[in-house]
Amino acid sequence: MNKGKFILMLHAHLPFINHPDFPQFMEERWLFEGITETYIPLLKVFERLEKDGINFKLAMSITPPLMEMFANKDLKRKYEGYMNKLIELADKEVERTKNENALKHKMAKYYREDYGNILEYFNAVDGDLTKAFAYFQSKGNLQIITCNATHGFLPLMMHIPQNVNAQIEVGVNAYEKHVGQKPDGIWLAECGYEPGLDKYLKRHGLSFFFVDSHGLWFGDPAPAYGVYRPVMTEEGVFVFARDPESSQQIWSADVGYPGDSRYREFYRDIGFDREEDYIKPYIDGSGERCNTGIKYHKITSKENDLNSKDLYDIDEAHEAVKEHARDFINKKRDQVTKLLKEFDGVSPVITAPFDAELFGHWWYEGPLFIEQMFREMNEAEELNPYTPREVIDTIDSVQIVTPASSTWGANGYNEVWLNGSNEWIYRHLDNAAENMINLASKHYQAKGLQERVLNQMARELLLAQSSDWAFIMTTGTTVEYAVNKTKTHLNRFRELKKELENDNIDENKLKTLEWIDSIFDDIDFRVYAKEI
Amino acid sequence: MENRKILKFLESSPTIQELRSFAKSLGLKLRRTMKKRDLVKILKEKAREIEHKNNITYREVPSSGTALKKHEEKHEIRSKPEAYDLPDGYKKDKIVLLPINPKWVYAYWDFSAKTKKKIEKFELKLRLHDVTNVIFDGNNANLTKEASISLDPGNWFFEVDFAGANYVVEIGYYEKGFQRIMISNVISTPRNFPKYGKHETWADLSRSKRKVTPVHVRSSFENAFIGSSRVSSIQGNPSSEEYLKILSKHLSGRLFL
Repeated sequence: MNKGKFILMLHAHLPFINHPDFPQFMEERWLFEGITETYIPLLKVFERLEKDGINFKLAMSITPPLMEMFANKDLKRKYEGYMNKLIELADKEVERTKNENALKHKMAKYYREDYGNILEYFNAVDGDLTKAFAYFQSKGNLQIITCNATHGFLPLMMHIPQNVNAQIEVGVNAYEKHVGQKPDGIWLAECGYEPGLDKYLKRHGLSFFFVDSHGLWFGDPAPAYGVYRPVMTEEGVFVFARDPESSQQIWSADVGYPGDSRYREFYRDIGFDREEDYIKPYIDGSGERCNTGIKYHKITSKENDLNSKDLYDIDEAHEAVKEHARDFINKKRDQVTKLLKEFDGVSPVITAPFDAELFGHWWYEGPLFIEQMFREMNEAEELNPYTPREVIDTIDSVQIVTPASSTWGANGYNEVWLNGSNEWIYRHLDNAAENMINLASKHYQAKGLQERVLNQMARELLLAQSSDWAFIMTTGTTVEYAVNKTKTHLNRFRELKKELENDNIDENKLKTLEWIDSIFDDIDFRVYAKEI
Repeated sequence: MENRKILKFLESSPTIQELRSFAKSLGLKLRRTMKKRDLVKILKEKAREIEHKNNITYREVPSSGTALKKHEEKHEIRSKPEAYDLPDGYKKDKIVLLPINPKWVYAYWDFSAKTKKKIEKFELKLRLHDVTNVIFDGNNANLTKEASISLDPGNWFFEVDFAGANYVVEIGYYEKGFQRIMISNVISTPRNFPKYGKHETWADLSRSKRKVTPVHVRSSFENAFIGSSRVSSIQGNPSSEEYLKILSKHLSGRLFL
C-alpha cells in the first residue's frame, strides 16, 4: 500500500533592516525577536529530533535579506547586546515576581533560563545561523531553498522583464554565496505567481516552486489530482500547491490551533504592562513602549479583553501542544486514506507552507508543535515527511499544467500590494528600474568609482522593491517607516544617478551607503544589462 | 505643538475649502485634483512628520558602540529613513496597466513636456479595452470603458467584467475618431474558475516523452473547498478606505505587524 507524502515548508523572511550608525533602532528588533523566538527555537527542535532518531524532513526558504542579516557583523554584535539586556530584565523579573504570583515566577525563571540558552546557542555557532540550518541540510532533514532577491512582488513586475530576472538571479547568487551550492528550488515572494515566471526560474536552474491552492485549481488545465500531486510547467519546472486543509487547521483565526485558550497571549507584554521607570532601559531608546518578549498571560478566551486575561502556565500549554499535534496527524492520516482511495492508490502529496515566524513569534508554542508533529508522524503508518526534492525524485509521470495567477495574500491576488494605500509606489519603482536598465547598458564597461556607484544603485533599487513596504502600508501599522524606507531608497538611487551623470561622485557618501545599505556586497549591476 | 493643532483641526470636521486653506497656510503643496480624502491624508502626514521631528533629537543620541566610533567621522548622512519628496511624475510618455484581482485593474500614466504641449487643447480620454482573443487594431475590442482625465500624471482603478480576460489601456482624444497618444502593456486578469480541457498532457520523466490522454479529473471532492475558499471573498473597490479596513483584518503572521 502506498503512503502519503507530507511536505512542511517554512518561509523565513524579514526585510533587510540595518542601522549601524544607531546604538539601537526599533525596527532592528524584528530580526532579534525572530532569532530568539523562531529561528533558534526551530534549530533546537531539529537538534532534539535528530538526537532522538526521529525521521523529520522539511523545506525552508531562508530569504536573501535574512541570510545577509545573519551574516552582518553589526547586527550580530547588536543582537548580543539586546540579549544581554533581555537577560538582565529577566533576572529582575525573577526577583520581582517572587512576591507577585507563583505562575508568573515560574514563567520568569523559565524565560531567564531560555534566554541564557539561546544566547549560548547563538555564540556557539558564532551567530552564523545560515550555517546552523545548513547542517541539517547536509544531514538530509532539511532542504533550504532561496527566494527572489529582496522579496520583490513579481506579479507587478512582469512588464519589465529585466526587473524580474534581476530579482531571481540575485536571489540565486545570494544563496550560493551563503550556502556554498546552487539552490534547487525557490519560494516566490508572497507565493506570487504569474504565468511566464517559470521561464525565469528555468533560466537560473531552479527546479521547483510553490503556489497557493487556487494557483492549481484554476490552472490550465485543472490538474487531475488537484493540489495533491506536483505538476510541471511547460518549461519543465515542478510546482507544489498548498493544501487548504492543513493551512486552515493551523492558520485559521477562528478554528486554528494557535487560538486555544491555553496558549500564550501575544498582546500582553511587560513592555506595556510594567511602570515606565522600571521598563525604560529595556524598550526602545525613544521611550516608545514595545514588546520585550516577556509575557505572563494566556489567551484565556476570545471574549476576554486584554486586561482580563488569566495567567499563563507553560505546562498546561505543552499539554495543548501534544493534543494538537496528535489531532493534526490524525487528520492527515484520514486525509491520506481518503485521497489514496480517490486516486486509485497513487500517493498523495500534501504541501503545507507557512511563514516561519508564525511558529514561535506569533504562536509561542509553534516550534514545539512542529517537534511533536514529527514525533507523531514518526509513528503514523499512513504518511511520511518528505523534502520537495525527495518527492520529485519519486515521480515517473507528471502532468503538464500552467498555474493561474495567484498569491497567498488576503483574497488570493495582488490587492494587498496594490490598493489605495500603496499604489503610488509603482510609478517610482518602475522609473528607477528603467533608469537602472538603461544605465547598466550604457556604462557596461564602468570601472572603479563609477562601477561602485552603479552597484550601489542596484542595491537601492532592490531594497526599495521589498514587498514588505507595500504590505505594511496596507496593514496601517508602522506605516511611516515603510513609506520612508521606500522614499529613502528611491531618493538615494536618484542622487547616485545624478552624481554618476554629472560625473561628481562623492566617495564618502558612497562609502556610507555601502555600509548602511550593505546588502549583496558582491552584486554586479550588469545583471540589469542582460538580454531577456 | 503644531502637530496637535493639525489633529485638532481635523477633528472639527472641516469642509474641503477649509482643508485647502489650512493646508496652504502650512505651506503644503496642493494639486487642483485633490479630493477631501487626499487633503486629510497630507495633513495627517504633516502632523506625523512634525511629531517625528520632535522625537528625532531623542533617538539620534550617538552611542559609544565600537563599530559606530570607527565609522563616525566619515558619515555625514544617517541611515534613518526620511520622508523625501518624490516627484509627481517623470515627464516621460508612459502608461502601464497592472492586474489587481479578477475584478479590478490599475493604470498609471505620465506625459512628456513635448506631448503635453501637443495635446493641451484636447479633452483627454483614458480607454480600457477587453481584448480577449482579439488582435487589437484600435477598433475591435470586445468591450471598452472610458474616463476623462487631466494632463497631470495620474492613475485609475477600473472595475472589469471578466476574470481570465485580456485588457489594455490607452490614452487619446476624439478628433475625427479616436486619436491615440499612447497604449499600455496587455495584461490578463487572474482566472477565478477551473478550466477543464478535453485532454491532459503527461510527461514521462524516465523516457523524456510526452503523452496526451483524455481528461480525467480525480479530485472532484475539491470543489467543496474551492467554493468555500477565501479567494475573492472581499468585494469592492481596492482603492477605497472601507476595502482597506476589511483587507487589513485578513492579514496575519508577519513578524512586524
